[in-house]
Amino acid sequence: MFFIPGYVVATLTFPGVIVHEAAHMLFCKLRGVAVFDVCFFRSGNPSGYVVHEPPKDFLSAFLISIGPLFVNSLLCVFFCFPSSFTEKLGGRSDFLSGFLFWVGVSIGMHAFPSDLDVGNLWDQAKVAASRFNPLAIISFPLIVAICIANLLSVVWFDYFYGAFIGVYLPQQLLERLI
Amino acid sequence: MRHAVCESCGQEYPSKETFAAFGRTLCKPCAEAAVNGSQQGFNAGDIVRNTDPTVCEWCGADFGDSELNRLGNAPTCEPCEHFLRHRPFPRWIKVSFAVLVALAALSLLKNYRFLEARMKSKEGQAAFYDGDFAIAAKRLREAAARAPESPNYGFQAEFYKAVSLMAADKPQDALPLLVNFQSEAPNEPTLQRLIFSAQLDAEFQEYGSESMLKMAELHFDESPADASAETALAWANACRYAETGQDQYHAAAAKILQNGRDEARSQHDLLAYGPRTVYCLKTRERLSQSQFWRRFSPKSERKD
Repeated sequence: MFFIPGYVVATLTFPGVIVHEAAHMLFCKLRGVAVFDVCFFRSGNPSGYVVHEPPKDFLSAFLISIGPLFVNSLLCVFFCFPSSFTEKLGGRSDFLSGFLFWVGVSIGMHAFPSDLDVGNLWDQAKVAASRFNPLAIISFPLIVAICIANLLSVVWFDYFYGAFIGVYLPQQLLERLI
Repeated sequence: MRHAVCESCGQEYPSKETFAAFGRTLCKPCAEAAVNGSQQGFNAGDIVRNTDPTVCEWCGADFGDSELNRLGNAPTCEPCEHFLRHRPFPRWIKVSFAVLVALAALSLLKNYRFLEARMKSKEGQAAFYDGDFAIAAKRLREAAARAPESPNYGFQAEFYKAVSLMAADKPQDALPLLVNFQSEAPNEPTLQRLIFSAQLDAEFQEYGSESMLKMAELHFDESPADASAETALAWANACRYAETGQDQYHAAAAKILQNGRDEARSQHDLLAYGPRTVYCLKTRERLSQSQFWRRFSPKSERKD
């Protein structure tokens, strides 16, 4: 394992940053939460952000914070599938499938909500859980898991996650189906 | 629009252009002067720009004396609130996403032939396991035509062709094809067994059952642990029995079948040696694999 500065990784995998912020914004739109400012990608830390009004309920907060995990994972599988298809069935790779593989894995790498995202969610989950909100109660383990995943990103866990859901899962699916 | 008076210079400004700085309402120049003259510096929150509840923070529209709803503490008119709550994605995001989806679709369409090849290959394999070796070879040739970059399909097609030739009792034609595969898969046991079977059948066709039996015995002596050598020996004895009618060969073949290991059946029954041997012992008729299946409706029997 070797260390690469975060901004270099973010630049090399910028489609994932864009999709990550777009996922936050998408759930803001779906939940009617006003978005004041959005930056899909920039060179700096953070490499993207969405500034929105405080969500009115925990479900909105949960979806906005966790949104990238769903959207990025889904799009990672979607864009990697043609690549896996060519690799698995054709036993070869071409430029287009290589490009889609890069796009897919980049998106998958940025699936995990940032520490800031889960930090905000943690605070709101504590308040909501004190009111016995079931989603808030079951969200604690997920938040902890995301925090661990973020910690493990120093050993490329985010990359392995992207490769796992983008390459391994579709190939296994093809293996089972065909 | 509301106005405020600067507590430092006494001039009137629109409220939006004034600041709450160090507990006083100041205009921009006075606020800057206060900041520059401050001995202790300042903290976040010491200087805050004032808002005018009658002017939209986002579009700057003036609503006279009507106070606007606040959104995130900023006075916001209805059109701006609607925009912020339903902020559209930028066009470049939509276009980029559409292009990527189109590229993914293009990649799938371009490589769809690999799926077709795989399906043909699967059909070929199913036909192979049903004993339709000629159909299996045809399907694999179709697969190879769709995916010429995948050498496995061509390899499999040739292999199935060789097996179909053996099934049609043409071992001399099958033998060169099978021997060619040895360079590709030198230690593949199924291939070794098929080559031996082809040699055995070729020996029968060229020199008769006696020579074939000697060959089978020799092979069995060399590899007594090889279950397929045992099966081949049974088949050779049955062929000898078919030709001579002598009971000793019948007994030898029957004994091997009786004691035969399941392993032999599963590994070596590609060409139906087991049932063909049994049939031969009953009728003294030596049938090729294809003749045997044609006569006894192999698919339905195999499924039983």
